[in-house]
Amino acid sequence: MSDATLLEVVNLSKRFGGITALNNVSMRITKGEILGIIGPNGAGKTTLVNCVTGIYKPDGGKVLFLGEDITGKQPHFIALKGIARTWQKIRPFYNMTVIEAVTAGALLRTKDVLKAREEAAEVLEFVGIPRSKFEALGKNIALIEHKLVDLARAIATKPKLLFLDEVVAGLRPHEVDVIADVVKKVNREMGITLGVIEHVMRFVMNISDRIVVLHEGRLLTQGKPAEIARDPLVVEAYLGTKPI
Amino acid sequence: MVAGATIPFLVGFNQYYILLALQSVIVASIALAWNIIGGYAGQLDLASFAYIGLGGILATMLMMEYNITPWAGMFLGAGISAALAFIIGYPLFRFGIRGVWYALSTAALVVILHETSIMVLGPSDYYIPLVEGWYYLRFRTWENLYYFSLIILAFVISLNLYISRSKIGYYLKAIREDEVAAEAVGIDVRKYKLLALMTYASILGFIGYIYIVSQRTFSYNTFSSPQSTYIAIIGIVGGLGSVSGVFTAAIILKIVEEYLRGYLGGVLPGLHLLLFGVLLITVGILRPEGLSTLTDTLVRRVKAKIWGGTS
Repeated sequence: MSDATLLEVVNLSKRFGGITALNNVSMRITKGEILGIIGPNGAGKTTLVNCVTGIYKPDGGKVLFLGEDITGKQPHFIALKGIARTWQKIRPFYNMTVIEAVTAGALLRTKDVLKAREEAAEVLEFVGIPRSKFEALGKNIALIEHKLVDLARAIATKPKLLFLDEVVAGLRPHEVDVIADVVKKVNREMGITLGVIEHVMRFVMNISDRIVVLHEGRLLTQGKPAEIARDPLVVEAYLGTKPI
Repeated sequence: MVAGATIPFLVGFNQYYILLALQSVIVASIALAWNIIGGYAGQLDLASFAYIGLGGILATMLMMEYNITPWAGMFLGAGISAALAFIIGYPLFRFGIRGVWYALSTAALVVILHETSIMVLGPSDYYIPLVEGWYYLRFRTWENLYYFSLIILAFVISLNLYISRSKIGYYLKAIREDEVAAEAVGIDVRKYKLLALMTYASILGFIGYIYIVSQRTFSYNTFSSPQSTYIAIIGIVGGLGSVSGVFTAAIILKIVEEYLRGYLGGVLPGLHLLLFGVLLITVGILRPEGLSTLTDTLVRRVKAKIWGGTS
């Protein structure tokens, strides 16, 4: 079973001053799955991803990727190892064209700019950005396109594991369905393992193979989407114990 | 370049105009070197004359004191400027100093060198001895140095174009847009920023001697804060990362500055600087993204007028 483990997080802790954002969290992500990471606001979901991808240095615990200890390494090193991510608040390259931004991602695995541009074009078409948009500047495209371009930029680095941090936040229902299809395609056709942080339950319950629930910096529970939806602990974490 | 080479003939070997052309080409080369750190990598560097002064004064002193050819001195100057850039850049980038704090730190570098060089050089001006020939890269007339400066400009332009089309260019632009996102797609932000800074500094260290010869003199005032800021202004007014924009801005601003100084400098001291400031503010209001967009728009409007009027 352990050879199918892609990422293993062991007793991970992170404190900001007096606030413990992550408290001894242990979990693992299996090769090929879509793992949903949910929890109320402030549960530590983004902090978890930030600690894994090197944005934060954890105060305690270990992050093992393919058995290698990558705890506290720099983000670009972790990206090179094969973990990519998107951002809760989009981080586009406003003054670069769409194709340039994704090419910057593709250049991680090659020095050849032309080859990287071709790969970038393929990835952009894969996520559903039409060729007519390739030369548009980052500041001139819509939110849904930003989400897809950010996704394409991360995929272009050819990751083994990709974290999506609230990828459908702020989108309309039919746009959420577009993203859901793309995310499933990324998982099935490209074989990229996914960690999906999400608040939109319809989306995360629909696409996830397995779900972990964080609450106040601790791992509350984990299981299949259907089990999680009925779990009294989860309902309590989201809604409280007393009837409203 | 070919058009540039004909300038001495066009002005009938008038030494004043050739010197003006030489100074314009030097300013354009410096601004285009700045474009690498300021335009592509987006770091508002205000220390250009720290590197020019260090490299240039080193080459000039070696020539004056030990009769060492500036050809060697200029490469040494490039090396020592790159070393200074490393000493400054490594801790700044290591501790994530960016934005206004980076600008302030680099501005402080010029001030520090300005003050310490008073102790080393003393308060007086140094005049370059009346030596001549390619060994000293100094001539009775300005043509040869002007042609030499054109070669440097051609090199700096080619380097800019090479960077903009290579992996380094994509990475520097990504860093300019968002450092955190750039890190997350695998870009070693520190390494690439340091590379850009050292490239820029070594070019300036190389040009330093030519700059000093074109000024005929150097002193502690070569480490000039206003001049360093002026280079950054050209880079911004020209348009970050735009080779044509920065080149146009450098040439136009240098000539306008010279014209205003020549005609108004004697009327009311400082008036030319005031008008120069007004010009910069106007460009800033009309084209906040730089002259590169202004020239494009102008060309389009002129075309539209010609075609629109006749048809």
